[in-house]
Amino acid sequence: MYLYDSSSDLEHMDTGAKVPAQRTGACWRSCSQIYDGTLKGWSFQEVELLHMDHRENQAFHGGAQDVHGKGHVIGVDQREQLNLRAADEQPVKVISLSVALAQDELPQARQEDGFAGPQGQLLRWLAKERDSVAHHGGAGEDLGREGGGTAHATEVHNDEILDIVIAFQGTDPIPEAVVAVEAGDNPSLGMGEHHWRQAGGTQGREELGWELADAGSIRWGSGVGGGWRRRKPIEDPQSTQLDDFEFREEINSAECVRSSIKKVVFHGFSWKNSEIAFINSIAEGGLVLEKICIFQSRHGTAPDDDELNAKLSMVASLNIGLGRTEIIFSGEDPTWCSRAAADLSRADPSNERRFMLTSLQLIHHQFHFILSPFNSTYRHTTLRINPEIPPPPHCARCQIPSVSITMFSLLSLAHKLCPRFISPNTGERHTSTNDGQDQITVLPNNLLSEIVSRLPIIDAIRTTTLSHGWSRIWHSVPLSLDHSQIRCAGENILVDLSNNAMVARVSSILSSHPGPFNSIHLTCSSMGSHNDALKSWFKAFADKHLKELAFLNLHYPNDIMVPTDLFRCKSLKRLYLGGVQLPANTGIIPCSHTFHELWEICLYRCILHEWDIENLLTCSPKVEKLSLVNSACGWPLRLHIRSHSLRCMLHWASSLEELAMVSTPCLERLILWRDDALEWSDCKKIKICSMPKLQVIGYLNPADHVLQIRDTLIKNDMKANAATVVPSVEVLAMTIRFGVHEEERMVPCFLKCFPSVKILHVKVGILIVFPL
Amino acid sequence: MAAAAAEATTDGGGKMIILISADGKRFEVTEAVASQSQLISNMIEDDCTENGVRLPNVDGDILTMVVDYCNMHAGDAAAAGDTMKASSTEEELKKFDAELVQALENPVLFKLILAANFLNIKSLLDMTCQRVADMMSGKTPEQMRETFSIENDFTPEEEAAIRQENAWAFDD
Repeated sequence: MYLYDSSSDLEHMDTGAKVPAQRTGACWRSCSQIYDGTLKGWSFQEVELLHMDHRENQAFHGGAQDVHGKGHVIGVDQREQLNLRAADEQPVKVISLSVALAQDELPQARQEDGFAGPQGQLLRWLAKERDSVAHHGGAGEDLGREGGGTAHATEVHNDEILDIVIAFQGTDPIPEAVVAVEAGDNPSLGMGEHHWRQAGGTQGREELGWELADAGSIRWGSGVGGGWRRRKPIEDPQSTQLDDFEFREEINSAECVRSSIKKVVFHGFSWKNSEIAFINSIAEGGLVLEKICIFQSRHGTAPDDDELNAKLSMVASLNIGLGRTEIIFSGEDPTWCSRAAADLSRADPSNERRFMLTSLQLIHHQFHFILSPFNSTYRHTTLRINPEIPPPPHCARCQIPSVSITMFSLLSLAHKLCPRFISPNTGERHTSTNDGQDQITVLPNNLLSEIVSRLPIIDAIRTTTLSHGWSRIWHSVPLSLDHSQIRCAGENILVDLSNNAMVARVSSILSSHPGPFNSIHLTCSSMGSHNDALKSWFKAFADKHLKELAFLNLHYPNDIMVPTDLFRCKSLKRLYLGGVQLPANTGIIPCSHTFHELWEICLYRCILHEWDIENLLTCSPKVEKLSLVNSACGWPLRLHIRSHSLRCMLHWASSLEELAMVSTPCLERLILWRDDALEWSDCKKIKICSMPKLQVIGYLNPADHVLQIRDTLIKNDMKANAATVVPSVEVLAMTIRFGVHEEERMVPCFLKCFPSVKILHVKVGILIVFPL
Repeated sequence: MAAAAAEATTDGGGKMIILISADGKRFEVTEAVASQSQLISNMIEDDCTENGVRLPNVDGDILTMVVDYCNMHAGDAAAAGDTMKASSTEEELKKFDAELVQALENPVLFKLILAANFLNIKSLLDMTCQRVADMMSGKTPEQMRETFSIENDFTPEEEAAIRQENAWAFDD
């Protein structure tokens, strides 16, 4: 399993160059293009609520909207208020609030009553806002007091802002007093103390229950600034549990470290002492360790010369696997990488070239490569995918990370659900010789079908008017319909084609083709006003034996209910639904074994109801893959998975209270994925009951996940015993924020639960990332 | 490695097969080359290639192309185990394929499609059909007819009725 830590690349590829800037990872920079509100003479670069913000929304609707239809964009209006605008009438839940201030807008001097000027105003507002949210049972009054927000004022109660992230650009270090002012005098927030200390504000933040977001990725004094957030208390971000001998002993004595881990992959390495210490502690105990792959953080910086030398010697001195272990470094900056590798090789006494280097560009290339199978579906057109990706540099010993089905599934899923931007084939056209004889009709119908099946839908339809011989060819080819092809030459599907026209075209295709339907990929917006069309479509899907359906509703609110005819689509093999709700099980449709063929289910940005997933699984006796991406429920949802066929489960940033694998005897992979920049807890509890074949699990994240194995909650002081051990797992992935002691302490606990791990992936948890 | 490869050649592809075209031309190819055709592969399995394989549907000049194609691609298949070799020839193959279909005039292209279909060589059929599809895509019906000299045997009313079904596809 290789999970690459940049979902932005992934998404970037899907939508080609259309997306203005990368959303995840680079949110600070990119969002400045979107928000440019003014607050009394000074400007924000960005003020927004992050919920499950998805960049697609920006790309297609021009503004950030929440994916769950509980939308909330905070803009800043002229009346000095942060203004909550909800996209629909649903209750608002503020999960995360982030603010980035423009350079030179930092409060510079502190006055007695806190900061003067607009900066202080904002910060006080924030403090008050959080205060009112947390302690007066709702932010409604404040959040909704302006303009369009008022309608939702009363609906905000009972929710709270869980995280506030503030990032500054420009000065360093973070002006201590900013936080003090921001903290206000409200002791109930635990923020009453004014004495923030300069030195990184460590103490003060600690008292306030804030913590450094990611010390490693903040460049003090170099103009990028820093960030912090309120979260669980941290004991001392400068130290690490890993300095503690006994703790390290605990890690390297774990059974899997001693006897089974062969490969460690470390993502987001940023040269922190704690990270080196971690690698060291694994290496010390690792008797069978063969390879350590270290991927340098894409956002971190290489240390300066002296520091680098010191750290390189630390790495070089790692007591690894009796000198047999290979260490592979990889970073975005090839020159730096080669330097590090050269230095390391020199420092390596055995001089056995244990150190290798590779560049992330290779990985980009690999992604490009992976996409090619998907491209092949569109042979007749040119699919533009991130054309600026350079070819891989020649590297003496290139190490291309293996990419597994995990990435494939992410890609295929994103790919299938995202609209494609396909430019028409501009390749040269050969004017063919024309001797006046009908040559092509000598081909038998089955070969004409072969040809028509390779045409874009519009051309395929046009062949019906060529002659009598051609008129039924298209009808005899199983229909494969992709919405991006439903356009005439020169039409941009997003700009020129109205929704009504699009719906009409789809309807005419579906009604004129007699079936069978092979695959239908539709991305629609505003389907709410086309309920009849929607019903007729799904009726056609069911009647004409559709095998693969990808249906994505882009528009909000996503209260589109999929017609119940979905349950009559007995031939379905793959089902991808996005931005919709599943039909309520009214009891009309017998639930058992409806989808005899269904192999893969993906729900993307769907609003889930209780039992939706359970029902779907009951209906699908052969389903092997289940993906929940950005899906959520209006209330805390406990998902209990029971399936005798499920082999791979992907949980990607979906909001669940509990994910319990109650009975999944065939499950091999449990993928828990989240985007770095999306700051919210995705799933709170992971419960593993019966998964005898589970091989891959991760990324487990102690900041968000509570792991329960059978009846035992995994806590950091427990002893491993037979009941808490999952011996089948061979690949384990974890996200750890080094420096956060309680998270560090979970490392040995997780390791002990999985004694047979062969490959360990560790990703450095990042709260805020700053692009260089 | 080299020894093993040589052995594989004598084992799998050593035996020669005679293909005889409709106009009596004879082509001697190895089993490995010939068995890319599913039809011939089945015949080899059934052991009925002793006296040469007669292909009454395929002209000599077309069969020349097919044999060329198979020779090129048989090298590819044999080297599949050796990734280095495969990657080095991949570019060449692509170029060869592109040149093969692009240079063809329509009647020859259609004959090649028929031959690929008859011989059941999937990759060649794919490639040639794709070539025709590429020639059709992005064209109006009228241009398609022109390209392939298709005679429009519809009455205007019939044609209008068909267009009506998916009228949007005919807005130029």
